[in-house]
Amino acid sequence: MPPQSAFSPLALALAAGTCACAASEPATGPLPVAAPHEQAFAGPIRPLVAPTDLDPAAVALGRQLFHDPRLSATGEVSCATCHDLDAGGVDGLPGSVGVNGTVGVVNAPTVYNSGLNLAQFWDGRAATLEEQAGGPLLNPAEMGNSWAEILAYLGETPTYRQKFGEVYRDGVTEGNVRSAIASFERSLVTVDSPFDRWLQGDTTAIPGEAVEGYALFQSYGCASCHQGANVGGNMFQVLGVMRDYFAERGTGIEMDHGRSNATGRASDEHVFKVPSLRLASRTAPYLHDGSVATLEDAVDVMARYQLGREIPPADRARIVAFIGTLAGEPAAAGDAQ
Amino acid sequence: MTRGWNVPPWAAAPAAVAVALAISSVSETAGWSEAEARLQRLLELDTRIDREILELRLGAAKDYDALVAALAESRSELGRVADFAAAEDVARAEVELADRVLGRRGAAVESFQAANAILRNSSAYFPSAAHALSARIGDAHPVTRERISALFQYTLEMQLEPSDALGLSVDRTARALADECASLADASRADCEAMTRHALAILASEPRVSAALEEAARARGFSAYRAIHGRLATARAAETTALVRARAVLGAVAVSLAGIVAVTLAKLHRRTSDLTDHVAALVEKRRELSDERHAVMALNATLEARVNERTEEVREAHARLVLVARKAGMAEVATEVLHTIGNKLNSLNVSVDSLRVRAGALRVSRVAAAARLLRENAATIGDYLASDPRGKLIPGFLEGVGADLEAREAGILAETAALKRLVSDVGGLVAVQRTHLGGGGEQLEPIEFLVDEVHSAVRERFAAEGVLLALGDVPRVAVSVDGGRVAHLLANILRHALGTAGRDQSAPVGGVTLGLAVRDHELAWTVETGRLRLSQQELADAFSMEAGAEPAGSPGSLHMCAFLAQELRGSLAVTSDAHTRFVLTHPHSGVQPVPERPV
Repeated sequence: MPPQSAFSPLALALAAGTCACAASEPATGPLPVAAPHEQAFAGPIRPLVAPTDLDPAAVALGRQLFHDPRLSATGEVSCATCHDLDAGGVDGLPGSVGVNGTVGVVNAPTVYNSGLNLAQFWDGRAATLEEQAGGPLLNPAEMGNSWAEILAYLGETPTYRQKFGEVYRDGVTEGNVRSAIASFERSLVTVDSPFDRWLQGDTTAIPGEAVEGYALFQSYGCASCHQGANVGGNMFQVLGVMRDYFAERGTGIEMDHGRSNATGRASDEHVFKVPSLRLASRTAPYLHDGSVATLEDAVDVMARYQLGREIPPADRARIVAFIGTLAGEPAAAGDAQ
Repeated sequence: MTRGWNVPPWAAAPAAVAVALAISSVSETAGWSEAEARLQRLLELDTRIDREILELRLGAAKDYDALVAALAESRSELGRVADFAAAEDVARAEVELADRVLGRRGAAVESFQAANAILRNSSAYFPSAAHALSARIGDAHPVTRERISALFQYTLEMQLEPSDALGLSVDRTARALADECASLADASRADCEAMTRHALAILASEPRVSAALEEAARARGFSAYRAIHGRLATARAAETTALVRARAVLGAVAVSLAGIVAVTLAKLHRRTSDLTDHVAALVEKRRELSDERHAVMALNATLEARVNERTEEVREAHARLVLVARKAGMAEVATEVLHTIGNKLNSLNVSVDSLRVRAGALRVSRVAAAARLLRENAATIGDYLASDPRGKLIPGFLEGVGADLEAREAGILAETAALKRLVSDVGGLVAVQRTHLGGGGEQLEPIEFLVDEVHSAVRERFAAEGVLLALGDVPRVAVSVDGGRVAHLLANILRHALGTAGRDQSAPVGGVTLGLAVRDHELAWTVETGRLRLSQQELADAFSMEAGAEPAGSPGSLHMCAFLAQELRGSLAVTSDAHTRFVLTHPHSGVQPVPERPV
């Protein structure tokens, strides 16, 4: 937690002004960047910490389920098909390919660090990973199966029956399938990133360009939404704060409605969960529609539509360099294999 | 009887009740206490959410992790309280209300986060942007510069103390500035446009932040959580009261059950004691029965032995009866035969008397006198016969005598024929007697019965003579023979052997042995006298001794025995060297094994 102190609105304004002044001429010279340990205490981003309260047996069972294509209707699609753990937890496609070659219209977010999200899916319709775990299993465009089939398959498979019995008193149930998969997904935390090491005092962990990029990241206002240990994922925000993204992009999809699909509130139109940037450097394409191919383009789109700014290429490069240092490696409790 | 427990299973009911009471008490206490702790935690989280919102609003906090975590934990804790409330069926309405409140608070927080992020971003950007743009355009665009300054002032005041008037001022000034941005150079124009967008963003987001804060404040869970707590406390108190009453009732029940158990145990103890006595009595009875059983078994053995003895006696008696019957049969036949023979002899005497009378009546002396007269008058026989008075009577006399003799000859011939018939009848009777002596013809006779019969016939004689009669191995077979004849013949042979042995008082006698060999079609009986040798003359005498010349009670001649052996279609041979051996062989019509007699 940052140091707690009482700020008056005026002091807030002055402090913000000071920061903004630093960002007013971002490409003209060295940035006044605070020392790493100061950043760690005062900045909007904190290091990721691996969870320690997970049941290893449940995680192992969830790992098996996560990689089992027989959970799909055709026996060909697993969770890992769209959330390739060796590829940053995504499939690299604008729209994922489900059973029978069905191509979805939503960009699969990374499954890494998803346990830190305040909700799941772009529209946040699932409050927990357990709630989320059942979605793709039943979605006709994804795994297209039914709980009856899934539970029958698991119940008839001796190894599953045994493992479920070892982890859960009531064996194979829908809730336990969700629980096991969620346990595994919670273990998928990327730790020891260069930036986290820099935050913890390792001044050589990231290059100066990334350090400058971190300062720009804050001064441009990116950190207004991409903050916290997951550098995002902990709030919703409308896409198109400063400009109408959807009007300028054209050709809408159902998911464009964003969170209003889940809440029914008009105020949630085009509101999306702010994605984590932890593995952004490895998880192109970007945005819910997968319409942005590169991280550089994503920075530009965010600057234009969310910040109402145009970010010079040099600053963008620094920001991209900084974002690249956010990616860590799966914690021991996780499994990228 | 099941052993190993002294208390009936249902007697554990009081203990079970007590344990159940203890467990339920602990469980109830734990459940209520846990729910109360969760409500307390919810209150803490509610406060933390307020604090996090405030810090975020003021910029003291730069990330939403703590706020999101507090909300997530609140949902989790409230969910568990809801589970408890559902399980206890208490405070459902209050929990639903709290859930709705928390939902509203979550939505308010979402709205706050989004608006606050924009507000913070724009508020941070706008002052520096306004300062930089004002410096850049300098005095070239004084109106614009003045408008920028005014907008800065309005936005700042807007954040300090928002009002509709200020909002209107910001909106009007920002739109006017936006129109003026087009007159600026490219770089300044872009900054100008950005600045105006941010000013409008501040204008738009600030009321959203305020509204979200108000909504978040309205959606504090404090009251709802307190309401749940109150309901839980009331319910717990009621339940505690009910529990106390239930415990009192159950305690009374337990005491009653304990009393029942005690009484039952006492009864059980008595019954157990009675049962033990019964068992002891049964054991004693069983022991007595066992003794009696042993006695019965011994008695049975004795009876069995006695039955066997009696059976043996009966068997022997049967043998004796057979012998006696045979003897009786023979005696009966002999009596009848003798009676008939007596009759015949009477007739014979009558015939003899008749012959004597007839012979006595013959006038032989008168014929001799006539013969003497004739011889005396032989010289003048003619004259004499013709003229002499007595002489003239002689021819008539001789004629009369001749006729009388013819008549008497016929009578004597008739008597002689009668005598011959009588003698023939006596011979027939003797033959009948002999036939009856032979018994009932052939039948299946166990050898041992036959030997017993023989032994019974001669035992007394041998005992009287002090001669040992030894019996060889008796085969356990039955043979088809005329048992009566064989036994009679063997008894005679044994008597001969005994007699033979008894004739030489000086010679040591080793006893007599009866043996038997059963062959395919005949039996070979041997009777040996120990170390007694007969000379050839004695053997010849023995075979030739006439009936009637032997002493009374003697067995008859060996000749007769040989004759009887022939009647059996067999033979009798006698040899004498170191000792005398009688060998009787005769055929049989079949042989069968005799089953073992039961012991």
